[in-house]
Amino acid sequence: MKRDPIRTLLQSASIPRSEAAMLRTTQLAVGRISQPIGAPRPRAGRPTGRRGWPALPRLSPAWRAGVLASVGLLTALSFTPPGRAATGWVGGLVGIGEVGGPPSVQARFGDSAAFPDQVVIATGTASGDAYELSTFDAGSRWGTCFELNFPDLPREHGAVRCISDQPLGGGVNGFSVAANDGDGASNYHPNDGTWTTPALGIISSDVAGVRVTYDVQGAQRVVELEIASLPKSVRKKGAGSAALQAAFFFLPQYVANADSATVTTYDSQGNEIGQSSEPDLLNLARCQRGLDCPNK
Amino acid sequence: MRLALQTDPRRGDEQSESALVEAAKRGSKEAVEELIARSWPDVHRAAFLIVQDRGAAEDIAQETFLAAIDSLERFDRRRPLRPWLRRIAVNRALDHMKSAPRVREVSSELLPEGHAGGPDAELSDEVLVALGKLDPQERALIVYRHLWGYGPSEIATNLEISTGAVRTRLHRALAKLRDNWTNEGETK
Repeated sequence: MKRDPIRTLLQSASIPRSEAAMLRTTQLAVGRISQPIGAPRPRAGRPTGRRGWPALPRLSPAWRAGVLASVGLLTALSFTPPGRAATGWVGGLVGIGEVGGPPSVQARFGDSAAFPDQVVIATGTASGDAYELSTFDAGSRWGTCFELNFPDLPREHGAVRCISDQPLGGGVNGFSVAANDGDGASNYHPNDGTWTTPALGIISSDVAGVRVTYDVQGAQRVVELEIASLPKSVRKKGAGSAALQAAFFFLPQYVANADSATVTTYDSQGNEIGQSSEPDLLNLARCQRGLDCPNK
Repeated sequence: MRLALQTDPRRGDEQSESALVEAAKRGSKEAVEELIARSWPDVHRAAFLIVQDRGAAEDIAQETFLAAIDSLERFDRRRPLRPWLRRIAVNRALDHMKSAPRVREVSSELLPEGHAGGPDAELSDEVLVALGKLDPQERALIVYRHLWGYGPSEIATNLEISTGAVRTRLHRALAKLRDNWTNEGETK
């Protein structure tokens, strides 16, 4: 199975032994735990948000402008010679396709020959698993499709979303999450006991930012989504629809039974242009029928 | 297509971490020892990759766990402990670097015996040298992204910068890492 070679190098890098330091730390920590209840303790660490999670950054106009500038810059960098070389080097390191090139995973339905215009529009890693996001025109029945695939994982861990009619401006055409139709399965990471679940949606081209708020076990989670637009080369090839973009994120848990979910979209000025709130908006799989859901 | 659900083969270990946290809150020394033993390698490695100083990495790892112990009563035991520890460690490492010399070459004294940077040095040590030529935030980005596999949104939240900035700076950091690596190979 292919792995992130940078991760391998970082994990195997020779670092000094620290058993003595660990032992010292343990002794100090035990000493602190043993202090009587109510004894004053020196405050340490940075302030965090509620329930021990860090406070989230607020959307500010400067941030929004920065996001747009950065996305534009990254897209441009992908196609200038040095940027392309860097992208290729990184892509080669993690064993996935290059942005603007063919994917390493074929489309989920039909065969690759049926979708010769399938092209990668974003790559990266999610909890150590390399992913590639591609787009293609699936004809009149399915329309424009976006696929999120993990080349090193079984097919069910990816997700696909297609749309034959363009959504209204500022809208989100739902999300494909957690096996509502057999894909988007959660992936378990045995080395640290964490889970990753992909969520993929389609948004219109006027959307510059997407935020999803959902509840898990009564705790609210807020996620700023990645947005992948069609690069110039894809538009030139005619693959996909320039009027559509893909929005995706990775839930840091197993299939979650969200009590409610709200999706908010923003334009390039940071103005809210759409919001949807439904119990089933993310189509998250339910822990029913006696199925085991360890992180429900 | 069938619903692709998976059971958690380590569910027992996840529950035991939750139980350890609860026990540590109640003052169990054994629970504290076990929690530190489980996470120390991960935290210490990340600290060293960022600060590249033996003593500083040990101090940062120690401060991380002591800060966690001090804040344990506010921690929600249903959540995994490690992401919280990682965030503290990276923030501490970056704070340290703000007050430390800007650039520090990885000297051979820092490397364990047998990895002294000579012709027999393993490839993994070259990554330390190449990493050492990046600025601290770039090292933190690479640690988050590649050592721990965090996504840009998670990194942005932890570093309190925008997702766009994460992508831009990470892209730049990887390009510099590649250049540093290439140059390192050419000088040998």
